[in-house]
Amino acid sequence: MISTNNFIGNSSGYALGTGGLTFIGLYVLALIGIGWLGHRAKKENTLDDHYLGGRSFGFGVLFLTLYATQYSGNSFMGFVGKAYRDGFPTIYTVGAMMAVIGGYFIFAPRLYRLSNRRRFITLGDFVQDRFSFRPLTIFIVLLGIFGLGNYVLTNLLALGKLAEVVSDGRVNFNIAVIVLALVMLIYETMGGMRSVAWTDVTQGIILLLSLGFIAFALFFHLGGPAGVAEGLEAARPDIWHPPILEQKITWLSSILLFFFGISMYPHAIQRIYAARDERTLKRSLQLMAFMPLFTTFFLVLLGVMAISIIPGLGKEESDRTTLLMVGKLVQELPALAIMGPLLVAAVIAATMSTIDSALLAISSLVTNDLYRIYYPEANNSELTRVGKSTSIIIMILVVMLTIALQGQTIWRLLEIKLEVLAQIAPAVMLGIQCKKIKARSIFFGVIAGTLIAVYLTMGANPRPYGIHAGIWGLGMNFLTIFITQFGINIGRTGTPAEER
Amino acid sequence: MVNEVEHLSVSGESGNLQFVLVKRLLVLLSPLVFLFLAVPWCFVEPSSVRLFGIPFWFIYAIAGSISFAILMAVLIGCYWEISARSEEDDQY
Repeated sequence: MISTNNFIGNSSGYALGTGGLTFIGLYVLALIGIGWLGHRAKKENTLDDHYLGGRSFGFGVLFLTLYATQYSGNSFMGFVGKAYRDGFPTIYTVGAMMAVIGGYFIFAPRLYRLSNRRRFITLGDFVQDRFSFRPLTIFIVLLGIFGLGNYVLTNLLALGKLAEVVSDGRVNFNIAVIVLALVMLIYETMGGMRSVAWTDVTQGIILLLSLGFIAFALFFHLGGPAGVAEGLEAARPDIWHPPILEQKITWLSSILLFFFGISMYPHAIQRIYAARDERTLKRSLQLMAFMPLFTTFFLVLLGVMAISIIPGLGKEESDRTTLLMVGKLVQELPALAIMGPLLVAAVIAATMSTIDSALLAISSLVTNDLYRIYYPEANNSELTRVGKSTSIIIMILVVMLTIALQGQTIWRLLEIKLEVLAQIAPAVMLGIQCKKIKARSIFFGVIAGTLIAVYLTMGANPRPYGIHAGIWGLGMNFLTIFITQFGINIGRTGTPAEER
Repeated sequence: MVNEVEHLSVSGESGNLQFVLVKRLLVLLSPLVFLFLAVPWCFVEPSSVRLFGIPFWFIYAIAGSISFAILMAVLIGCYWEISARSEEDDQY
């Protein structure tokens, strides 16, 4: 039985009471149970079954696993914090999250068919099959691993910070990170993608319930933005103005970064492979296009309205805006006290579903695209064992890094990941849609793009003229591809005119 | 005579292929064009006019997002085969 006093006031905001913490503990334990069920449902000891759940996901599972994976702890903590700091212009995140579906539309329909016929397991399988150029495949796989590693890192950081805040310091950051990482490792190694997807279903449902609570509280209790307009105007008059030109350019640049970056998440691509049939994939993507309106939109409003309700938060504190607001709302609406722990569980759920999916994808990339090249005679049982060991090793490394990097702000880390992942986009999108594109063009393009993106990201100004380093890199990437392709055509036929 | 017919037939196929390519390009690039238009470029001056307590440029951005979601649902529903290049075999 959960006590009504699930949230208590504390020095840094609001924290869960004993009842609330028990609820979270039971929820985390239940995930291991779901993982065990996934293990029992396992049909064969193959990479196909371990990493793609036997390609059997129906609409409900596929949609909820895509949803829970796409919305992470960064969405719940990072987006709200950014909306608190920047105000109304953060609404670009709604369009940006939708843009991801635009990215999928360019390659997912054909990639799904190819993956079914040619039994792809990872992104690397497609790249190798399409271009037959091992250095390119390895480079793209390494970019994927780097991006996913960063993803796991940012989300573990968010988990640790969250645990500290909601327990009012009773649960230490390091202990929380280690325990939750262990839970994820257990259910992931037990049942692979099937366990991960089934836990995602639970997590997706909790996310939707919590967002319903946020929407209700924002519009019916606080009266929507109109209800807090006066306080908002007094606290931040600057956020009402339309963005200036440079902000608009950054707006577009962010959308493009999400379009080309998030759609390249290797674990999202594996979910495309895992669909039971094409109709299931189509319907899931159609519904996903609308989800930012029910997710990101409410989160942005929550952050903006928090400016008026809890003014004066510093940069690091603003990453906790979600919890502070929920604590306040639950105090004002005691009838909804159960929603407090549920929302905390939702943030934990969003974060864990992202980490476990990314971890599984890293494991598959290492096993399928790196280990298997050097040990082609390895059988499925050995490969699955290597995959599980890889998950354990990577999780240990990431936990150690997370503990060492506690001081970073979440948003910046998120961007560094996308800058690099976006460089994979030309290989996948042009590889799918352009028959004539050659491996070497793509190889030189992805190297040039990555160098530019990393160089600018590490430099003093990572957004020259308001454009993200990743988009500059992507521009260089495409330019290099077209120049190299042009050169290859001349080399083969004399001149392009002669070829015509 | 036979050569002429063959020539016309090849031209017809080539024209049809070009039409398919242009159509595919338009379909695949339309989300990007739409996303570009959804940025509130035309809102420059601060305005005190509000709707439901929020500024007009914010409403414009939300309307743009809703339209984009509808566009994507339609594209996925009606133009899936174009993106999948279903008229071709599974060779690259």
